Amino acid sequence: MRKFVTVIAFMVVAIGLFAGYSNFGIPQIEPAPPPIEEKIDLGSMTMDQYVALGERLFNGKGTCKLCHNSLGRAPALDAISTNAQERLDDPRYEGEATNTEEYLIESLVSPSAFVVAGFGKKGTNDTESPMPDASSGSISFSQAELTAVIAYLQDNAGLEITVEIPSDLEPVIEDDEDEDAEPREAFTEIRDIVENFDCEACHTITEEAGDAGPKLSTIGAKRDRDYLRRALLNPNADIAEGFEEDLMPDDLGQQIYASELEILLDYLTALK
Amino acid sequence: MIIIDKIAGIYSLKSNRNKLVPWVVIVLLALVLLANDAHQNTIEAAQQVAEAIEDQAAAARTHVPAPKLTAADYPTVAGVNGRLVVWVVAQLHLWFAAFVLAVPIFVFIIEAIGMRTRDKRYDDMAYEFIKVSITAYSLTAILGGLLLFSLILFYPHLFTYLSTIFSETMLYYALLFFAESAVLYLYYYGWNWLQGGFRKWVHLTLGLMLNAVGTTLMLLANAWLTFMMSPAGVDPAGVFSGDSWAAIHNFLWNPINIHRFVANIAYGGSIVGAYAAFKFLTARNQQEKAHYDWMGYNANFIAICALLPLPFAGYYLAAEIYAYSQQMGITLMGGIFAWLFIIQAVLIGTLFLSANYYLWCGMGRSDGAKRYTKYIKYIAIVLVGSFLVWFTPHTLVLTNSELKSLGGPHHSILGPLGIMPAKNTAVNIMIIFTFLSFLFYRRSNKIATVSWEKTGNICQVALFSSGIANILFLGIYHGYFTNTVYKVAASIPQVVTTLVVIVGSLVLDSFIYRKSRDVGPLHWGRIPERAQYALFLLAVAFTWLMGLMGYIRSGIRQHWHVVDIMRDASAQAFTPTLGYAANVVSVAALLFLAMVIFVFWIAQVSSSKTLPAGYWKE
Amino acid sequence: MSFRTKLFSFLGAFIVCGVGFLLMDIALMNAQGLSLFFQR
Repeated sequence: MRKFVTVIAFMVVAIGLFAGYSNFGIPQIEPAPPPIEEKIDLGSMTMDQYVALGERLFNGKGTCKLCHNSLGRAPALDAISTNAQERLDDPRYEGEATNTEEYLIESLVSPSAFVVAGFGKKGTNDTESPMPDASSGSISFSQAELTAVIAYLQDNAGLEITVEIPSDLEPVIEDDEDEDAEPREAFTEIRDIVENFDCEACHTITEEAGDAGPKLSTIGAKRDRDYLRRALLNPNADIAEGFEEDLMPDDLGQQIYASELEILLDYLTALK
Repeated sequence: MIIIDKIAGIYSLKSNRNKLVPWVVIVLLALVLLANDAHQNTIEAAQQVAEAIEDQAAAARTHVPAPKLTAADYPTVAGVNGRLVVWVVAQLHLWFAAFVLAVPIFVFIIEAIGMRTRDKRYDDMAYEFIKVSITAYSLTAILGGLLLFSLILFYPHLFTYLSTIFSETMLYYALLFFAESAVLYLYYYGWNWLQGGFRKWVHLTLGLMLNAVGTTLMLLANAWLTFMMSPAGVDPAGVFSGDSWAAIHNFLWNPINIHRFVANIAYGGSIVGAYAAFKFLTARNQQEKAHYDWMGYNANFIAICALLPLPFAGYYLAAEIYAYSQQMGITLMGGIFAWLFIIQAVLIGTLFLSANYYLWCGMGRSDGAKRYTKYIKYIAIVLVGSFLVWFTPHTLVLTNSELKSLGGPHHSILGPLGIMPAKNTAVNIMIIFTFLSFLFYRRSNKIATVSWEKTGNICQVALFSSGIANILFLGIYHGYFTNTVYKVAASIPQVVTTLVVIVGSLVLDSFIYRKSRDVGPLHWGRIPERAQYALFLLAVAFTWLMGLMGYIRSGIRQHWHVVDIMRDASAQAFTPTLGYAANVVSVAALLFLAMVIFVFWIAQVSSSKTLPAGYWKE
Repeated sequence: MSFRTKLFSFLGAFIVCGVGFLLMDIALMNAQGLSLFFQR
């Protein structure tokens, strides 16, 4: 009987250790919640907002950035101004697109129509693309969303935006909350704030991240609270050397809560 | 007058009747005509019905798209968390099923070994193994029923949708289950009856049938779950084409089949090992001790044999998941699940260390083992070192900004498959050294008699060291000096090197020890009690690890019931944190082990007798 | 068996096995359309 109890205690302790390690030995990461399906109003949208929507889709729901990033898993998309035409002229090209916009749409909905050399599925000799059809499956972009992504891509590559905002109020599914949604709870953790506003898409804060915006890991040593507050609320007021204007969204002031702004400023000023 | 009246009455009746006749005829004619007409109508109606049935059948053949659900479509039953219930029940069912399917596989092999060597100990051991699994079998069935109920209760629409696609296989599953039960009972209860000569062959054939049916059952169940991961035989809206085979033979079916088949054997071995360990600890005499020591050794041997190829089956599965869907592959290896592989590393490290520890303790059974004990500390150092490399998390995403961070450069060391060359190298070296432990164990009681023993040994040392050098070269050169494609590709020669070392030295060893003599008889039972705890740890770690890997396999579907086809709209569609998952798995594992202990106890009870003195009439 | 004989026979066997493994690496990398030493 004593041995029986010992064996049970041993097993319980072993399981306890495994569970303990999983709970306390590694960081507890809260996975992103499933995307919420919501409708947004296209009618009142400006092209800038439409491009911004495209960008959010590109980074979020579309999961495009998983592969179209600096790691080179998939062709870079910042050079489409020249690349698209080159690909249309490529002797291997057999798709139906005749201009950049059509080429981009084609690439999104039938990625295998033309596979950039070296990016095909292994063993298919660049005839089949590993990219999913963005208009179906887990991405399932609607027509309006596809167009928004094209608008973003064109804007991002410095091209003229040739697409138009669809006028028929086709529902757009987006995972970010919009104004109609219930007001969200204010974040109290710096990590959540940085994440919610996607700061690290452009800025390096704690670890290596984006480099589209100034590095912020030691910003507290250089800038004071007032400067940072202005930079957050009115980003184009003072552009750091070597960076472009209009990259940082100027509507942060409408999105961030006052309490969050203070937490963010506390944090940034302490980064020295 | 009365009579006249009566007669008149009769007459009048009569006359009335006469008058009636033509009416009757007319009515009858009309009826006949009507009936004829009606018959015509019935034919038409029947035709219509037939057409309607035909239409329905056609509609059934064309099938319906997967339903688009809302949170309201998921019944709440007494405030119970449906996902949690289904999760725990499915996990318990899977553990028992894995055990119950695995035991007949090696019971069959052990029985065959017994028939070949005519060593009755093997037959007795095989019988004892199957005895343990018989109570577990009914628990498997009960839990399977419970899983079915909880699915219907908490996820009715998903169940309905899946059953439209898998209705046929579900029918076959039910039929096969009957067959499985019948063969199992015949196999178990007929064990002592079907002994000797032809009868033994009949019994062995029953064992083969049992395995065939059992494996088919598993393959069918695997098809249901892999369909949810990599749906096939349906269009993008989820409309079933009617091709059941396409739905069964979906992209991830075979990778899961292979992985589960191998893992089940390892798992079954470890559970039976725990049984033997338990019996060893509670043994009343030296003879029992020797028996259960021997049984534990064999169970552990089975578990390790299946454990060694398991990382490769897992690698194949992961690679196929990546090939099926790049997104799914990245979710698997890149996002939050990346940390899960660190936990997995800890668990597999535990498995390897306890298996090795058991082997080292087991060398005490031989008087000749002293020659090798001096090497064990080096093996231990290498194992622990490899283990540490394996679970060093510096190459992983340290941030929770999942998508964004994946786009960041700090992730570059983690290849698209999460093939971390350093870790791959460590795993291969761990496997080689575990094999070395086994080789020492094998040699511990033998003395070679061939003249070229020394040269043979030198060749073996050269094989091991050049193999390890090659693994290190591939790991370091391709891990740090080439791009991702090469890192992934280089893992294949690494794995093959490990296999070559194992197979090559086994062949060499069998030649060196041909006609060898024994140092002395093996002292079964001469093993410290703490070695038995290594067997328990092996079983616990296996159980827990299976639960954890079940969570990730299911978790990479994210918020989909059927990936890209049927969305999970329930409040529980989110992916839980690792800690939460680990807690669920822990609770489920405790439940499972409690049930297993019950099974062991029942097996013991069935063989004990109480003589109630003076209770029965003489 | 002297130490020298042991050492030389070990080195001999090591080289044979090592070359074998190297050839195997090259073959397996080639089978995947890659070269062991030269990145394309």
